[in-house]
Amino acid sequence: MKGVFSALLVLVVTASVSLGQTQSGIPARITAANGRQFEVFLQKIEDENIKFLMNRGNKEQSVPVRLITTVEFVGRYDIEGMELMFNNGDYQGMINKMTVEMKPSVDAFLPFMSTKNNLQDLFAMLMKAELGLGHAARAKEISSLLMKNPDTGIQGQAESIGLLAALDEDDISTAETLLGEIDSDPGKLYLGACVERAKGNFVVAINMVVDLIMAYPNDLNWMPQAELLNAHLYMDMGRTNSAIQTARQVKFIYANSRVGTDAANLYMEYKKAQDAAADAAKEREELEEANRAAVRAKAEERAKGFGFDAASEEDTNSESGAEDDVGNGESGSDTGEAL
Amino acid sequence: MLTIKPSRFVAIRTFFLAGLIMLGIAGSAKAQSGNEPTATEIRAQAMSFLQDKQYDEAIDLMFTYLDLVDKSSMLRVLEIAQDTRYKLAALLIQQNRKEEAIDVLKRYISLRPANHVRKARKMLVVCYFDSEQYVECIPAVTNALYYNEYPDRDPAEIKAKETASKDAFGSHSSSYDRDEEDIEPDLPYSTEELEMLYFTVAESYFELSQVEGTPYEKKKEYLEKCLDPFTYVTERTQNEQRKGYSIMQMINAMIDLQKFDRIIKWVPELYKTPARFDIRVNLALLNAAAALFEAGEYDSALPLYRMILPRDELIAYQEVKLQEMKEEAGLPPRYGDDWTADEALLFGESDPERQMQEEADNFTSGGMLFRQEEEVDEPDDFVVPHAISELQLLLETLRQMAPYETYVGFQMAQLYKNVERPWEAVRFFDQVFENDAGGEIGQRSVYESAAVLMDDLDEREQAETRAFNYLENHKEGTYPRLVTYVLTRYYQRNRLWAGIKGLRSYIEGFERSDDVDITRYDTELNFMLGVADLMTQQYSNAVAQFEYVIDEYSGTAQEANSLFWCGFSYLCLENNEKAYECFERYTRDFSDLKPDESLLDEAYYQGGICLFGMNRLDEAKERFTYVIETFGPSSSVYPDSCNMRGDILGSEGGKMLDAAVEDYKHAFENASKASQATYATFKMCDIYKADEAYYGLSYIREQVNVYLAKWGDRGADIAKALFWLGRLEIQEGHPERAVERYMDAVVDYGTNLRQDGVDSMIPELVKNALIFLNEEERDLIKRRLMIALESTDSEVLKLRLRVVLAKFDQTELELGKTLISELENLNNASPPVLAVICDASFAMEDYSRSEEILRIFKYNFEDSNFMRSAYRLRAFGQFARGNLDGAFQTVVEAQEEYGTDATESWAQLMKADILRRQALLFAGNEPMTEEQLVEASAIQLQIEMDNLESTIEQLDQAKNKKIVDTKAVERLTNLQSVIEEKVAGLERAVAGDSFENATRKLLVRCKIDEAREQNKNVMGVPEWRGKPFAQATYQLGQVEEADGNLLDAHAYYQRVYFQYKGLGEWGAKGYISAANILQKLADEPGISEEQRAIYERAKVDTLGAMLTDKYANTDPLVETAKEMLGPTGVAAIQLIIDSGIETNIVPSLVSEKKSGPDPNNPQPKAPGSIDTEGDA
Repeated sequence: MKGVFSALLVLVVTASVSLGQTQSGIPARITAANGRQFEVFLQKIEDENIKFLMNRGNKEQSVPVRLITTVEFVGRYDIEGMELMFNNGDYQGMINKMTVEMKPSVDAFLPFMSTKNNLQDLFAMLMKAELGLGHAARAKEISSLLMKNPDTGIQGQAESIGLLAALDEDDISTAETLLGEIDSDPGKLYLGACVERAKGNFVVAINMVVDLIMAYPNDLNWMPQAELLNAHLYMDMGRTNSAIQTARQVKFIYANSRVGTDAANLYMEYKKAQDAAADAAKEREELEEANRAAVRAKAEERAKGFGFDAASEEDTNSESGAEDDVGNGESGSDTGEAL
Repeated sequence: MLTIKPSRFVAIRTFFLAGLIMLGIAGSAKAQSGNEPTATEIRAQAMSFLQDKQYDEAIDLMFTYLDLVDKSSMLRVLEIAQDTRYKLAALLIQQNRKEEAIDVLKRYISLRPANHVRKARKMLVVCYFDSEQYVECIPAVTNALYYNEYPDRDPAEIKAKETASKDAFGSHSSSYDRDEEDIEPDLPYSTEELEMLYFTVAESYFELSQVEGTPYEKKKEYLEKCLDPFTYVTERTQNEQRKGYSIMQMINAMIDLQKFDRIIKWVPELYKTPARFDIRVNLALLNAAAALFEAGEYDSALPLYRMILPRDELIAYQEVKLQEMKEEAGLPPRYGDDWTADEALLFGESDPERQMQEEADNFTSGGMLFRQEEEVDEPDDFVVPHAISELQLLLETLRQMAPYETYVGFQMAQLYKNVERPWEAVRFFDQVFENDAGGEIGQRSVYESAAVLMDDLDEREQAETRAFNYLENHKEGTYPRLVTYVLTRYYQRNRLWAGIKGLRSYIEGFERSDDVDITRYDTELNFMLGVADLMTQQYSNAVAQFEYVIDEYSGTAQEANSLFWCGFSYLCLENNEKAYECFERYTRDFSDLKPDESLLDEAYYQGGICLFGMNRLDEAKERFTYVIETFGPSSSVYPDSCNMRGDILGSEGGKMLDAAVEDYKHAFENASKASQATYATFKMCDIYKADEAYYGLSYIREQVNVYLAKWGDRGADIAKALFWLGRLEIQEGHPERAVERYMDAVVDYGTNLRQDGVDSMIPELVKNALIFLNEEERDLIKRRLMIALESTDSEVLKLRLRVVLAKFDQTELELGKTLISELENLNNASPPVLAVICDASFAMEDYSRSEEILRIFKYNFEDSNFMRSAYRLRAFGQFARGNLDGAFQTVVEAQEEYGTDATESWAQLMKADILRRQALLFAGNEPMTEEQLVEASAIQLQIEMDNLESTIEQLDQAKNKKIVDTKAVERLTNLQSVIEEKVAGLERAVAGDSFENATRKLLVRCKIDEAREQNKNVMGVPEWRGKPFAQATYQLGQVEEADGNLLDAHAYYQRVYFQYKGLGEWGAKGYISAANILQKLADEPGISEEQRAIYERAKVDTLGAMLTDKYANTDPLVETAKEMLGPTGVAAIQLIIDSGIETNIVPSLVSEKKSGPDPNNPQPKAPGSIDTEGDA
């Protein structure tokens, strides 16, 4: 009887599984160090172990991360579409799309970014997008995981973004620590310039960027953002025209890239600010001129009592001060006044 | 075409035909008593020659054959003829007889049957291209491509089908035995062949666009048309070299089409291909970038410049590639160089046949990249592949070129400069100079770099570093002058005249040249030296310098200017005679200069000034009349001449006063500057006032109001105007109206941040209100001010009015404190407001905004009288932080502005104190490194050199005066000697030629002497009587104390408490310090007990005197005195005080030196030591 009962129990369990009960977790294919592949539902990473359910299994398995070579997420993700959004500078759009497509949630994928996987480039873009939107903490969170990824290219990107995020949070000390870990020479120059900028050493920063431009003029990994940084630095130094010109050049040279889009936005922003300042100055001048005209009118009214009509006087060239330019041979009386 | 299977039937037929031929040959041989070979024989013979590689003969016979059979319509004959044509075409091409090949191919293509139409069309394309028949080449390509797609639509095909359909036997004969090869199918073009065709048509269009004389519209059309086929090639080719070349050609086309925005897309693509290492591509990039640069398309030019590889890198890369190519071609590695014996052994034989085969393969497979050229036959029988010989040629060309990266770097630097990226520009210019320091581009770069740093970035120090390093080593040519000119331009613009003077050694060190441009620069620079001397009031030097220019650069543009300013310098030296000579010479020699260069009217006018100065008034009057009548109101000196003549006429008095007034009126009406109008106005007012009985006060009122109406907002001296009006009102018994006028002026003109006149009226307004108005009237004024404050929108005016009200209520300090916390930025703060903030900050010892406020004054209100407060605040702030050098600099600047004004004693006193402290630092125990000593010595040396220069200048002036002051000359001569001695010592120290102790002693000596001098100078300013004198005397005591002269120090301290006890804290400080000195004297080693007792007693007496001195015994320092006395001493003194005995205890000590002021330095006399002794 007992045997029958057990058999029945097994049948029921098997039947319930085979009836297509949905498993929780992220569907993926993991490749182990021995080359074997498994279809799994990823659960989490805990204590350096990947926890997952085998496909059609319900017992949580655990394997050390170091024994996993790659993780391949098998969902349907429009990576090209997200990349296009990223390159067009539509960071929020890209994030929204990821939120929709990555089930159960984007955050659920995050822990697995410390392993080599087929979405690591996408998450590297996500990290940059978050920073681009000013979400430094979020960018740091993602970068801290990507820094553990065995792919050195991904690590490098994560270190860079981690550094930039630290600067966004005014954590210069952390940024300088991360700077010491950057391998790439042009990267060191660019990120070093970012740190100097954060410290207010604009001239030092701009010279570091120029060092990069001179030594690595065609390095498309670093040149675009380095040149864009110079646009910011010129603005920091109060050189609006130079900032606008630099942004314009970057927009042109690196068109159809993310940096080109950022430069285009920056250019528009600076131009608007410059135009607004010019308008404000013009308005101020007009107001002051109106005030001056009012005062002049009052004085003329007073003087009219004595038969003087200022309006009938010819305008002569007036000089506001006793400026002289001796070297150009102007009036000696000017120099005399100056002396 | 049907495929014929070999069979017995075929063999029989073959033998049959052979027999026929044999018979035919025999027959024809028999007929050769007339003896002409048949077409078949001719063809056979041709094939035979072909086999034997007797190509010319084969060709001739093929032509003959084709001529013979040209009219035949037999299918078989047509087939053979076509086959022969095809072979003939190939052979002609191989023999480089492409013109002939073209005709043959055209015929072949137009006829049927034709088994290799596609190939033939392709060969036709290549023939056209190689023979530069681009016009024909293009349709050949398009036809080939069309045929490739739609062979059935070919007219020849259509015609052939029609013919075949009519022919009952329209089948292809299979009897012809072409045993050389099987018939290959005419397959569609391969990817490579298509690529070749597109490439050829693209190149053809491009080449046509470059033909000289092509109309521009046509050229554009060709360039447009080449783009698509090039794009086709770049998108499909696997040959990276070809891809790179195609991109480069597209870029060239886009440049010519001025479609600059499209270029940028291809640059990264080009960079990804190995073509970036191609020499021609690099040279093409150079040209393309230059063209873009010239067109101002900097954004497009920049990426191209960046891509250009340095020459050496390119040579190295291509040399490696050449080696590889040679090895692959079986050539000796050093082919082209002299061979070693081993190389000759290994590589002695060539393989021409293999080379030919390779060439043919390369040709027919479409692997050609560039135009096929003649093969190079080397004397040693090596046949060098075309690609290798071409690369060798290019390498040689490249080696012979000068390194172009300098030029590229310079262009990039210029580009960055043009697009306003100055930091990039500077660095690139620097790099160019580093690479080409002696060359023209390198020198030009220094100039450009300095100009950007100075003019765009305002980085003076960096520009100077580069410029001076360059000028140390470069003395000839244009560029050193240009670099110097950049510096002088900056200095002049920023009124840094000392900077210009600092360039003297460089300018004088230039190698002279007859070059016109160089001479022009030399003249200009020397002239500027004179101007600098003039502006720094070194008039003698200015005269000398201008005279140098006149003598050395006679006939140049600056000769006239130098003469003029030489005269002006003489005027400043009060040497009217010499000045007059200069001006007269100017009017004589330079009367015909162009109007914009001429100072003729000025010269005449200044001549009049000289005559005036020489008291030759009639001549002066004549001169001014001449100027007025000759040059008229359009001259800038017309108003001044009117004013001057008015002065002369006014001095004559009587009826001439009217004439003077008329002149002043003319001056006023034609004034172009506020100063001219101001002078005329108030001169008139003076006359009206002086002859009040005749003119009446209304004239004054009228003139001043007219003046305000016309010049009120254009720089009028509002203060002076209102002062006159106010005086009138007061004189007429209406002081309230005067106050009202002042108030109106503040409200009317007070919205302008820069209104110095209004600012100076504010204290006047308050003063007059307090003096002349009763409380009710003052309240009314205040209410009106409140109303104005509430009703105005102007923040500037609001703040000004608040200051006025605070002055009324004497609550300025409170207002200042409020404003410190209220105003986050000071953009609307006018000078009186800033001054109030400064004073409040000073009172609170809050120096946090001192730098900011002073900077605001300097940038916006450099002439404001209120800047004094800012200087004081800043200097005290720096002093409080221990920044002695900074404080010193601030003091110097303040003194340059305000000199010995009554309120500026603080500056002189602080200066003297800083010097003493600096002396103590040098004398202290803090070790100094050699660098620190040298640096300090260098700084002091500069100071002493300036002192020396100034002393020599003063001495010259003293000697040149009409009445020579011998005492002053003697004093200055002695001073010169002292300073020269210091200079010599410091020079040794700077050269490291002195011990540390000696250097430090010298520095201490310099500072102590200066400190002493500066304190004594306080005594020479009568306005500083009172507390400043007290402080200066006290500080003199401190100086002597620092110098170890204790008795002298005591004497000064004694004088302080004796003479200045009623002036606040000074009496008490004097007592304490004197007592301290006495204690030090008592503690000196080696003195006798008796002397010690005397000092101890004197100290007690001094402190006792302090306690009994009613002016000093209420000061907090009295506690210090009590501590020093001790309880017993205090009790004794208290006893005396309680007993009511009056004391006059004054210790008497004899100092080693005179304690009074230097008799050569005029100062008020001070008493020496006091000999009276008082008894308790």
